[in-house]
Amino acid sequence: MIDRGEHAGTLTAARPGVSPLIAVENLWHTYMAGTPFEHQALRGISLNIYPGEAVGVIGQTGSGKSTLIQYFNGLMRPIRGRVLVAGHDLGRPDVDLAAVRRIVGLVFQEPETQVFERLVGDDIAYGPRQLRLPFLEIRERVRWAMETVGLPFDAFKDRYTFTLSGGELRKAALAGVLALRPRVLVVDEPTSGLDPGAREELRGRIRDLRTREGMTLVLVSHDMEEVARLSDRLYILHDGAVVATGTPREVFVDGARLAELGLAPPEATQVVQRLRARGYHVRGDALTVEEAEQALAPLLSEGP
Amino acid sequence: MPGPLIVCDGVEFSYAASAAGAPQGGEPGSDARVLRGVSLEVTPGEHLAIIGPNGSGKSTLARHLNGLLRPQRGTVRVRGMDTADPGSLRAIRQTVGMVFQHPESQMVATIVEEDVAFGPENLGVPHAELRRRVRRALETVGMWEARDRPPHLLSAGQKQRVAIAGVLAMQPECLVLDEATSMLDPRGRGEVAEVVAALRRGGTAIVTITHLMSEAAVADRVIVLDRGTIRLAGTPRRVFAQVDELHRIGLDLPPVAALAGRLHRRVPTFPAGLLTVDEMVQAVAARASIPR
Repeated sequence: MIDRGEHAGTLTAARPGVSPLIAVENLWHTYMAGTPFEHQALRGISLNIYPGEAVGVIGQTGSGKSTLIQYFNGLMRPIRGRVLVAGHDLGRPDVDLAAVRRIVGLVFQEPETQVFERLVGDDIAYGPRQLRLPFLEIRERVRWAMETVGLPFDAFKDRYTFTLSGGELRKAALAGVLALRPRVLVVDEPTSGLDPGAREELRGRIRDLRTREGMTLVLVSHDMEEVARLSDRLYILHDGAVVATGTPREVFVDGARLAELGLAPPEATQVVQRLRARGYHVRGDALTVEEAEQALAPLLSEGP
Repeated sequence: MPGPLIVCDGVEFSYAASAAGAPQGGEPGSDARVLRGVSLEVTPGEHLAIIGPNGSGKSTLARHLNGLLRPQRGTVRVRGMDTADPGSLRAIRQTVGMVFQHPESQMVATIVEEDVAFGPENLGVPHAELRRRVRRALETVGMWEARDRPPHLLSAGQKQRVAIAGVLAMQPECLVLDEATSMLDPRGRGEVAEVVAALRRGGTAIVTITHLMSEAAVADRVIVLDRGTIRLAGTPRRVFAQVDELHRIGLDLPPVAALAGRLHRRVPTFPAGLLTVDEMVQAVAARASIPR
């Protein structure tokens, strides 16, 4: 499952001729260094995020995912290892952090807890106002961000934030980051805690950002169905190191290896893999319910 | 003692209370009822799952089960005690324990063992009994080894297990899990699921409020709440066979149930009501032959 074909031999998936938007080289991070609770969260991570791609980052709790993404927009600065964001070297004392944060927008888990303005429009305008943009530019950005996440501007801009549902509040928080017009959007568990309807809608909105706006996407998620559907390429983190990369199909086909890493492929994938293991002739790389249906239908119609 | 553990009878509740004589004040408004006449029973030892979209009233209903909220119309009785009677609340909360989405919200001490001891200590449980209870509760959730650690250094799944232990130390007859796994990763969810299974074997009733259809699929019974009323109720197999109704409410199916439904439409003899990967593998294997 690791790095087949053109990427063979490296876990950073080099692409000749294209320079990565985010490049991480041999990054180490230690929490509470020098105390009895010292913990190595990252152990020599190297990876690349290329323009326009959607990259999923998966791994158990404690594998280092959330620590890693804080380096992507300079919330953390490397002490050991190197992080380059569109050429800005985060290890340099004179790095332009404001520029880095305009390039990479980071949406934390449960971002709705960070909504603080009374009116939805004001909350989303907060970032652009900090950039001291002209009024009309701010208004256009807020309008675009709200429409993009599915909160119609005219209907929602003057709503009190406390009247929004959980799903709407999450979308407002996402819009607040989008209004900064980042080139890379990093989302950590974007749909956790939402009901199935809101989850499905938000996934569609995130997919549109990629396909319509050409935004580069980094998705951290425990939901393997979600990761399989939204990502072109995955990195699996384990104990602070990258242990595998590849397309979702390549990564999820090795169920035994995933289990070792404390992960489970989507249930549809598990079904076809179990049947294959029993000797049935069925494609083992189905990721979705629809693909599993296609894979299993021939077996059933030709059955005894 | 036979008979139901919890009985909700025609429960109505609104956060902007408007009904005359309602326990809370508030401005009069339109029909803002979050619960619109919910009646249900929880029987001893059963595992009941309550599902529904955001805003359907699930968490509000959960908070009625041990008197954190009291109905504005209708009644909730726990072992016959009315949750509207302030004198019964202490006994009711010993009978029905709650665990919430964020375990941090119910942790009070700086060491795991002390956190778990907090509840029973306040009940005046004698020291020797207290130690026994804390140990049993921590062993049940597999956290005894971590008893000396500060809770904030635990993983999310471990914190949630400590929160459950804190409730178990009260020796409740029923544990209500209000989206207790929604912020956990698959391993954390697996850990909590194991604890739930162990508690059921021990005879504790479990009420799970969840967005995860796969969690509801392992319950004895599922109730589907939509806009404050019960739309569907029954075994998971029966509830998840109602594909159109669930879709209309805005809920999806567990992946295996969705796959079974699709295969059933293609091959009518294929069973529609499957829930687990195991069941699906068996059902396909029973109908297909391995080519030579």
